[in-house]
Amino acid sequence: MIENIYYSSIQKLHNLYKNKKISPSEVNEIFLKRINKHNKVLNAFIEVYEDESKVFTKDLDITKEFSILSGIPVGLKDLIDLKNKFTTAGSKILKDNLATNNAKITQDFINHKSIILGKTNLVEFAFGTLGINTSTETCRNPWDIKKVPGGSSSGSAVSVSAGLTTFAIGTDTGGSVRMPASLCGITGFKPTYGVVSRRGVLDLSWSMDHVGPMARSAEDCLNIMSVISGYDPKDKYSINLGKNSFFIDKTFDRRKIKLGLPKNYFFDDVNDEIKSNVMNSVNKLSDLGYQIEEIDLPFVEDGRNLNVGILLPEALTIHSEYLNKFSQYSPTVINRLLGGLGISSEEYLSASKSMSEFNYKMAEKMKNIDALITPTVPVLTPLISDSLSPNTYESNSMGKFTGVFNLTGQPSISLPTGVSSKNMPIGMMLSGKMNDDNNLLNISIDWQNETKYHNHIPKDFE
Amino acid sequence: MKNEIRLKEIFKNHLKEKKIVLEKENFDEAFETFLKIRKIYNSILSKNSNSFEPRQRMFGDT
Repeated sequence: MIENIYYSSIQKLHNLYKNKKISPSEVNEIFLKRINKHNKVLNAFIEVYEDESKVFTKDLDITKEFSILSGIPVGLKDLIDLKNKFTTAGSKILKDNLATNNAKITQDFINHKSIILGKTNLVEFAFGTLGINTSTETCRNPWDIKKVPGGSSSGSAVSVSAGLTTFAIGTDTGGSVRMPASLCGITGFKPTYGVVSRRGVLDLSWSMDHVGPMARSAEDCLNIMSVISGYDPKDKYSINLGKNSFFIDKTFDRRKIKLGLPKNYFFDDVNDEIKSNVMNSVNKLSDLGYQIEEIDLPFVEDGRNLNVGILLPEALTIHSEYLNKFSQYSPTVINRLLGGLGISSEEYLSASKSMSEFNYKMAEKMKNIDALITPTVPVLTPLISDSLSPNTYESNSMGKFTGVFNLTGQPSISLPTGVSSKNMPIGMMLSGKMNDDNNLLNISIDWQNETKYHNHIPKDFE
Repeated sequence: MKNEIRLKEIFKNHLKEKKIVLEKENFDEAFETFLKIRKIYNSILSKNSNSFEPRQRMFGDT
């Protein structure tokens, strides 16, 4: 059971505030002390707003208007603008990039009086799957500090996993919320494309970028989504799910939920421990009363290729203004980015049409099921020292499953499902129908209520 | 092999055009990524999806 404040759920902290058991400034002090103690080793935060958060929470102590996220500590991935603070993207190139406005999502947290603790570390320009960053110093996985945390939202995952913040925000272009969530043993949710505004968040690939919460549980993710979702007329990719789209569904009946178990791709070339762990979870879901249906996805092999094939030329276009500073990039990033050189507009257009065909086929398959069950990643967590090239086996394989759902834009979540023989977390991914985010979160909440894997804490950070 | 030599020249020209100079180790790694992407595009271009509009995610009744 989670007893301490570092790992309290959002609802529990909210109740503590409501019942005057603790004040926001006390909570802020607890987290600041925790960050000061552990961040030198973990490198989870790039910048901590110690003074600002102290002033802010002093005012908050006397406020009477409390929403679900009021006084809740949050870390922002350093792609997200906070006015008058630097948004560096974990790079040397943008080290002096002062934000002139708040991102829409930042403004949501300010409006709801959340405690913005600081900016979290990431892979330089969010361009990598393992979490390696030689410009800011690589984040370390709290479950084994010699191992990678996963990327690109590495600091967001590490800060939640080690209890340095209650939740954090990440971005996900090929799995960058879900992969580090899986490797660090937390819950990471990528909403349907466009459900969370990307205004004020640095782009990696306009076709694939998503913003999403990283937290201890699916219920926390739901509470965060209730605040950060919603149509943003200033974001041309924004969609409107309607008001009050995120709630605990009291009528939820797991016996009516059909989960698709892919027969191909998602269980091919997967590490045996991961496969066995996720299949145990499938059996558990079946025992709980969920309907499990095996499903053929013959087209899905193309998904990762399309994800990378569209992401790379888009990233290169976005980076064209920085390429004259090529020597300031870390080698893992520039060496990967330059692989996208020479893709013609005809080729890109063709890939973009193939993406639509892929999405159509997936939408047809999803008609009769609520969510697909797959592993989040196919490989075990590698050592940092083995992960310094952009072309390692783990680096190339890590996003093989997650990237499919950036292409389709479906909501997708990584949930902890226990640990490997080397005591490293393993994650299961559930991916729902387009715009069916609330159903997916309710399935995830039900699973976590039954299993409690999400309450596991890395032993050095208890 | 012949094709790889040709692609290496193409890649070098792209770098030259962008005035990017890489040390050998970095060049080799970037070229490996370039080859990977060319392979991906060969696979993508071998299929014809012309009846679809670019970048669709919602499809009427689906």
